[in-house]
Amino acid sequence: MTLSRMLGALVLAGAVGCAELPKDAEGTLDRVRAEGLFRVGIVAPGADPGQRHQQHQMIRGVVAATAARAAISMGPSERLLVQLEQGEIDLVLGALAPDSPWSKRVTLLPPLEQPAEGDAARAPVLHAAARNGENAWIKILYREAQAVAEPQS
Amino acid sequence: MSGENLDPRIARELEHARRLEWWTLGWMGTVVLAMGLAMGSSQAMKTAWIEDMLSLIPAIVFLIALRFERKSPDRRFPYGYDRVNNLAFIISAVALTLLGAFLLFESAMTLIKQEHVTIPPVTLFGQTFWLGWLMIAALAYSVIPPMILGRKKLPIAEALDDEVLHTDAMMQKADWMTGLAGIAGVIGVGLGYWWADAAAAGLISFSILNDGIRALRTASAELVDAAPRQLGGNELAEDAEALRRVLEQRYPEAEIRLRETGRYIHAQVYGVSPAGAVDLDEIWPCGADRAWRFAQLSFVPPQADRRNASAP
Repeated sequence: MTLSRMLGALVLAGAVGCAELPKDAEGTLDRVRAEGLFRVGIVAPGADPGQRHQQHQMIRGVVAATAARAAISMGPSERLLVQLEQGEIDLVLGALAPDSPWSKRVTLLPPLEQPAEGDAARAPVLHAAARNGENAWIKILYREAQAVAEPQS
Repeated sequence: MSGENLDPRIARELEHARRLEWWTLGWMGTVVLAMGLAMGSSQAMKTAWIEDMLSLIPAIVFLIALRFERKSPDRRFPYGYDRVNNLAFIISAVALTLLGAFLLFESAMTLIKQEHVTIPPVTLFGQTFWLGWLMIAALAYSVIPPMILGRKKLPIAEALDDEVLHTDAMMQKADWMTGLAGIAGVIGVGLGYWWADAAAAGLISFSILNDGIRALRTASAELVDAAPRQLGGNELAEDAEALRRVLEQRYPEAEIRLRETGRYIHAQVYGVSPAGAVDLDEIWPCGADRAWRFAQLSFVPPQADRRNASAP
């Protein structure tokens, strides 16, 4: 079998099983649904009352979408993001700069608050972050992050 | 196009090749644009995008070389510009090899670092959907032009004995294979296999690297005046070997040396002085339609070559 035929067969095989795309590399969404629990890390201290409201809205949205409850822990951003990267928690909420080195190591969802304009555009903005490669889980978080951000815009 | 320095027997094919290369630039330009817009943060898409841009190099150098090939020799370039084709060939071969090496490196690094690729949703025209679908659409589009163009270029490359065009056809094959690998990779990532992307790219990088190294060997051989090689291979060209046999029969006491200047064969008969008129078309053993390939026959009497006077 030539290489091109093998590739063609692979594409075809993939297309057949495409109905439920995407899936998670490490099965976060399946686990959240099975256990009825997702683990959230909130970056502390720092959130003002407005941001706290958006964080709660985000968590409520995910709870509604997954029928799971949230186990919340608080901590410094560095520790929470390392835990997120290693799969020890499922979601981090906190102010992160879009050009932070973390933006490659974890996936930043759309900002939960309106980013500043001009020189302040690089300032940290309230974001939800998820583990890289958990594409089905990210799809749900993306929708909820959009819903939180929308009323403000 | 019929340049004054071009053999009229190949002018039509060259014009066809020139049109195909302009089509390549235009069509592949739209692919680069589509891929750039759908790229997101996927490494595989970025690789395929860089690959699409690299793949324009053979088409560009072919068109530049063709412009030069049409020019007549002048005082500064008394041998003409046939060899620009060799230069274009080596540039194309380097591009193809680099592409294979780049692809192999990228995929190996992704596998070693165990990078999990995120393909997030995207919102377009008010609709939110998985970016993977957009990537698959862009990749599927990127497969079509090189598949058509590559197949059209191969017979012309053979008719013209044009290594640049042949390498370009190989590049287009690399293009559509990378596109298919990219689709397999995006679907694989969508199915939760983080390694699918890199594994698919790594698999085809071997085939591309192999084509590139083979082209590089032939291009290097041409550069050092080696005997003419087969199109797309490193074996001696059959038509040149047949010509060598004819010349050996004709000049049994001489040493026959053949080399390739662009698409043309130059023959030198060492050790004898020219005797009477010669008709290149009559000597050429491989049919009148390809007689243009035999461009020059020269004679080097023993006393006229200091370096090889004592050679066996």
